[in-house]
Order: sequence, then structure tokens, then C-alpha cells
Amino acid sequence: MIDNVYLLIFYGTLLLFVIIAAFLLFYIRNQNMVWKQRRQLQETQITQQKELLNAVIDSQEIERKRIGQDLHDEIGGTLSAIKLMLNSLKNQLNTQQEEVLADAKELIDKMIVDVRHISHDLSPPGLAVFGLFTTIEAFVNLINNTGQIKISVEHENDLEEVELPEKTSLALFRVLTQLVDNTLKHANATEIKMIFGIHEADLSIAYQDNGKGFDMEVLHQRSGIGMQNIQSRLQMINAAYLIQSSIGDGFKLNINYPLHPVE
Amino acid sequence: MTRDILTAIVVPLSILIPIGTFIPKYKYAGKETKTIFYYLLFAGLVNATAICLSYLSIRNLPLLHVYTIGETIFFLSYFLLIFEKKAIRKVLYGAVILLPIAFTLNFLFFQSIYEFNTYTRPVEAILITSVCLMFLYSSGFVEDLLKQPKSWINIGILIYFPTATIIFILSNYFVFVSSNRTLNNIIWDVHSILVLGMYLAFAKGFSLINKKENDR
Repeated sequence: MIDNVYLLIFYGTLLLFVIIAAFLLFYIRNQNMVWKQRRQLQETQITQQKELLNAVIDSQEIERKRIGQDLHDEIGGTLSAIKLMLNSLKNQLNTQQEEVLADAKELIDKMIVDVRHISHDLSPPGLAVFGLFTTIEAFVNLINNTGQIKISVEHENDLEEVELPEKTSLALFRVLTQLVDNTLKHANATEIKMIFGIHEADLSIAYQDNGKGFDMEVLHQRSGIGMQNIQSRLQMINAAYLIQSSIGDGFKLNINYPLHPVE
Repeated sequence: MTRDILTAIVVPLSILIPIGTFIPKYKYAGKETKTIFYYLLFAGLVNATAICLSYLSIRNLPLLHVYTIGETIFFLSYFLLIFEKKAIRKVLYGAVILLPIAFTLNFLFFQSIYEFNTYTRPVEAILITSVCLMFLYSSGFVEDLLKQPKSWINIGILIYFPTATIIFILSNYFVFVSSNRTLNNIIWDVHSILVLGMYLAFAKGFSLINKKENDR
């Protein structure tokens, strides 16, 4: 009448094992699922933010282009017409009035140049035709001519064959001009170096100035709008970047843009 | 008295709840729910026979040995119908054939037919519990889990079998060795409540079978 106790204990242990194993399996799977969902959510949020940023930057560029074109075509055209009209008055005025006319024409010439600069700044016309490197050199020449700072551009490799999408060219152009703007405004630098090269199928751009630099902690805690724009534009084109700076040691930014991105 | 009403009337009659719920839905029920329905008919029949034998003062424990074999076949067939993985189905096919043979050998050679089948019933209960847990694990995330008849059937199985396994293991001890009648009564009351819980879960599952879609 008495059962085999060992067998009964074995059954009890087996049941306990089944229940505990099931609990552990369900628990682990649940944890994995929660972790996977969180990761997916984060990825979705990052993608959404990136898309939003792209849309903002795209619309910003479209608006800049429109304003630039309007300024160039409408205001520039009107100013040229005014200059022609004033020219037609040349022989009908007395000496005193002609002096005023000459001053007015000089002002109009200055306005025409200013409008052209502003419109080119808003929408660099050479970018689509001549590409990033030529446009950057033209920009550098413009800054060098002001005598405020010395900018040198180096090409480590032959970059003529490198064809960048227009969006990328524009983003990199904006980043570099913003960097120059930051250096001029905040760095008290005397020299800027831009080195372009190709390393392992990446376009690499090294930007550095010899300014006063800053503590990287400040950047981590609070970035200015200019720096945020730089980071956003680089993220938008999937470029990797590394910022290096310390007080008294200038500022350095290395950009790596994959020329053949993996889909 | 209350105890007698529960174990001798309420619980045996409660089997009519899932059966009554299923009958109007028989036409459009899937094979798996039909299997559970046939199991309930079988269980009801065995239970009724056991009660009759008890009234006639004839020992009804041999029926438990037959019931265990039937119960094993019905539940494993149910899992065979709901599992889609071939490897698991193969194991289940093997179990459906081998376990009844092993259970028969047990009452022929190892345990008397007038004892509780403490060697075989825990095996059956542990196997059914494991297979049910395995099914829940392999089904992953299920939308509207509680709106599926199958889910309620699995809930019923998990209400009854894991806890009842302990009772099955110790049933000979409670009835034939222990002299504590109160403890014995409490144990079988708990068993009755577990059976009632399983039947109610089955009834809920059957009530969710609808005309349009198969209950899978």
C-alpha cells in the first residue's frame, strides 16, 4: 500500500522544476521583449527627429534660395534700372547736382554688391555648378581678402573626381561657413586650416583653428544654436564627426562622410 | 454536509456548464474544442459511473486507472491539434501511443487497480502542464488573448493540473496511510474546487466560439 517515496519525491521535484523553468523562460522572454520594444521606440523617435530635422533644414534651404533669388533678381534688377535712369540724367544736371548724382550712383553700386553678397550667402550659386571644393575656396578667398584671419585649404588627394549629392555639398558648405563664423566671432584665432582628403572610402574634412578653444564640458551641457546647426546638418547627411577642444588649445572638428553609404 | 454537497453534487454537476455552453456551438466549433467537449462527456460519464458504484458500495478506484488513460489521450490529442511545430507534434504522437501502454502496464504489474495510480497520474499531469506551458511560450504575443477559446482552455488546464499533481502524488498517503480524516477531506475539497475552476474556464472558452470564424 505504501508507494515508492523516491519516485513520488522525484515527481514533486520535476513539477517544481517545470514550474520554475517556465517562470524563468517567460520572465526572460518578457524582459527581452520589453528591451526590444524600448530599443525600437528609441530608434523610431531618433528617426522621427531626424526626419523632422531634415524637413526643417530642407524648408530652410528652400526659403533661403527663394529669398536669395528674389534679392538677386528683383532688388538687384531694380537697383540696376535705377542706376541706368540716373545715368540718363547725367547731362541734364548742373555741377552740384552731378556730384550728388555721383554719390547716389556710388551708393547704388554698393547696394548692388551688398545685395549680391547677401543673395550668394543665402544661396551659394556656385555650389551646384562648381561643387563644394571650388565654392569653399571662393568663400575662403573672400574671407582672406578681408584680412581678419588667414584661412588655408589643403587637399590631401585629388578631389576632382569626388561627386557629392547637392544636399550633402550644401550641408558641408553650411557647416564649414558656420565654423568659420564661430571662429571669427568667439575664438580670437589668427589662422584656420581646412584639410580635405579621402580615407577608406570616406571624405574626411579636418577643420581647426588656433583660437582660445573651450572646455568640452560646456559643449556637452549646452550647445549654442550655431553648434547645434552644425551637428544637425552632419547627422542629416549621416556623417560621423569628432569635436576636440580645450581651453587655450584651439578647436578641431573632424568630419567623415561615407562616399558609398551602405543602405 | 456542505462538503458532501460540494464534492458529491455541485462539482459533478458543474460539468454540465461547459457541456451546455458547447452544445449550441457544436456545428461551428473547431476540432480542438470538440476534443475538449468529448473529454468532458467522457469525464462526466466516468464520474457518474463512479458515483453509482459508490452508492452500490462497489469500489470505484479501477475506474480512475481507465479515466487517467482516457484523460491523457484527450488532452494530448487537443495539444496535437493546436501545436504547429512538427518536432513537438512527433513527441506528442509518441506520448499518445506510449503513455496509455505504460499506464496499462502500471495497473497490471506495478500498482494495484484498487490503489490510486500515484505512479502514472503525476506523469500525466506534469506532461500536460509542461506541454501547456510550452504552447503558451511558443505562441508568443497573442492579440486579444482572453477573447480566444483556446486561451481559456489552457487557463483551465493550468488551474487544475499543476496543483492537482501534488494531490495525485500523495493520494495513496492521504487515503490509505494518514489517519487524519479532516486533512483528507480538505485535500479532496481543494481538488473539487480545482476541477470546478477548470470546468468554468472551459465554459468561458466555449462561450467565445463564434459563428463566423473558427475558434483557432
